[in-house]
Amino acid sequence: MRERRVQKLLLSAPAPDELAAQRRAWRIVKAAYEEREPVRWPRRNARPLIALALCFALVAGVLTSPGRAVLDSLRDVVGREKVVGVKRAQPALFRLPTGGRLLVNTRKGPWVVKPDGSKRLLGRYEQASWSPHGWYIVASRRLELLAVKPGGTVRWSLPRRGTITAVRWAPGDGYRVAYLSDENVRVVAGNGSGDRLFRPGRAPASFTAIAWKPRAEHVLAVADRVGRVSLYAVDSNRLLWRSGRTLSRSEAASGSASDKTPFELDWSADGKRVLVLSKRSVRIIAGDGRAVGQLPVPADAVDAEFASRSRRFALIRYDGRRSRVSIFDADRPVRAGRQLFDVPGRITDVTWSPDDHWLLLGWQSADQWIFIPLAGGKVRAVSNVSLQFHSPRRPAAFPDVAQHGWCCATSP
Amino acid sequence: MGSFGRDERAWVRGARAGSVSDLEALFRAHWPRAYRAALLIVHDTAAAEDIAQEGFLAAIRALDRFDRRRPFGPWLHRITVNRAIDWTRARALRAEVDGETEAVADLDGSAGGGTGPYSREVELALRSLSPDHRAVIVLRYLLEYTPGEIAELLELPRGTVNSRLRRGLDELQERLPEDAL
Repeated sequence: MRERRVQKLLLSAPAPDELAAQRRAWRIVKAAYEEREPVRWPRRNARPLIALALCFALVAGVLTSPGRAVLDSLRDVVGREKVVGVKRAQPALFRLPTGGRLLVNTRKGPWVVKPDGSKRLLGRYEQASWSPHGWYIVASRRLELLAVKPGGTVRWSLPRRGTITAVRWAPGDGYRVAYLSDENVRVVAGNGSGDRLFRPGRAPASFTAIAWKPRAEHVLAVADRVGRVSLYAVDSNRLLWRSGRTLSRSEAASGSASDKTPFELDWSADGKRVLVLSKRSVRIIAGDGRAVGQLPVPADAVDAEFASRSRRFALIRYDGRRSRVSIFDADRPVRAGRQLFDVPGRITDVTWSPDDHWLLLGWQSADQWIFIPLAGGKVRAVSNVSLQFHSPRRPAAFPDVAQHGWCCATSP
Repeated sequence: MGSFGRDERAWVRGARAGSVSDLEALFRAHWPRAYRAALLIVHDTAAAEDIAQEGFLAAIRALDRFDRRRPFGPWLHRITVNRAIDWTRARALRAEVDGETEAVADLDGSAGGGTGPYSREVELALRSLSPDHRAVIVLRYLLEYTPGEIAELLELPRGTVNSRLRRGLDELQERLPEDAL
């Protein structure tokens, strides 16, 4: 209702000088248009003609063996300009290189991918993430928070008013689910009951990321808009510690310093380190609130995730042209990491396998998934990722593996 | 909409072939929204005129490369809104306090363009939002894009668009008179 009124108000807001501005602008636009050199038919249609010629060449290339050789060399040359991905990639995901299941968020909803490559679309949900042991998936859709079995059956659902931007199921006993709704933290029991706003004491109201601490009973880390990270015992509403802020209030309000606002939190499996990711830095805080170190990120930090069984974490950085993926030790974050992958274009997410032997990278620009064996061995690549999840091949629609989305060595 | 889409494709085709009248039809169809969107983001009539005009000039320069099967509006709006955001950020850096005061006066309904009963309040409420929040509000409620389309236009995650919309609406609700919303 209020949205329709805002629309009405915007349409009736003053646009002084509109007609005079239109007359002045039209004179300039017209003059620029008349000065422009019209492009003749052959040149105007050069692209479709070239595309047609390329289609013929590709068909010839695929059908004949000399043609394939030419295509291979062409791929090398084109690869310098356009991201074409890893050569000899599998055309589809026939199987995962190790056990576990993948949870993949797409525009059509989340999919569960089994080790044999078979996959199931759960429904039109968003923000899906695993429960402990992969027994359930918690997700949201318009006005609803839901717990769904991997087979698609809805276990419970909860009507919600706000916009849900992150949902996390507590590890261990799985008795709590926390979620961000309109930048507020809300907590609900694992069976869908007792939903409540979580705002103990003078806690700030604008939160940007949440993460449950492993090996602790219902202890939640929350990051707020001014860059502070706070740790709460949720059941007793007790603040355990709070880090310093990275933004002043005016910086946070201006919206100009969003590079310092945390957008992701992630705990090491032992609950001794928490990683605070913002666009320009990676902070590591110990489980007791002590600052361990900060890794400056000259390029944009895109995604980071802790390994399932150690204090190593993988980080993606993107400088506008190239993406670099490195592994760091959270006990010594300032040391140079081990660089794993440096490629043109965008890598959008990184996920560890449940046994920590493989790293999955989503290489959006090449429409590929790359599986990197961390103990050495052959990199495996899968092409046509968008197509396999029935997504249009557009950057914004590239499937996104959920945080810690490669779950659970054994299936339930 | 369908008929407008067909007209628009014909205008783009004509403009590419050198027809001034088709270009003018395209310009007249899109100028009001482009100008109003820029104005609601920058709150400065001269700057809004420049930004919308620059959008059209950029469109003319790229006319021969434009994919005729795609709608012209989103392409123009992306250029306009992004330029408006950049301009507002640059102004904030320059801290043009005097200019801003003048712009409020400039946008007062009494200047001749405002017809709604809450024109002045809407301007002031919008001004209280950051440029990024203003942009998503304008794209959603003036230009009527879906959150998914806004995410694509501004190259933002959809969650960020949703949260900016929610936050923007909350702030507008706080600042506008109760009977306005």
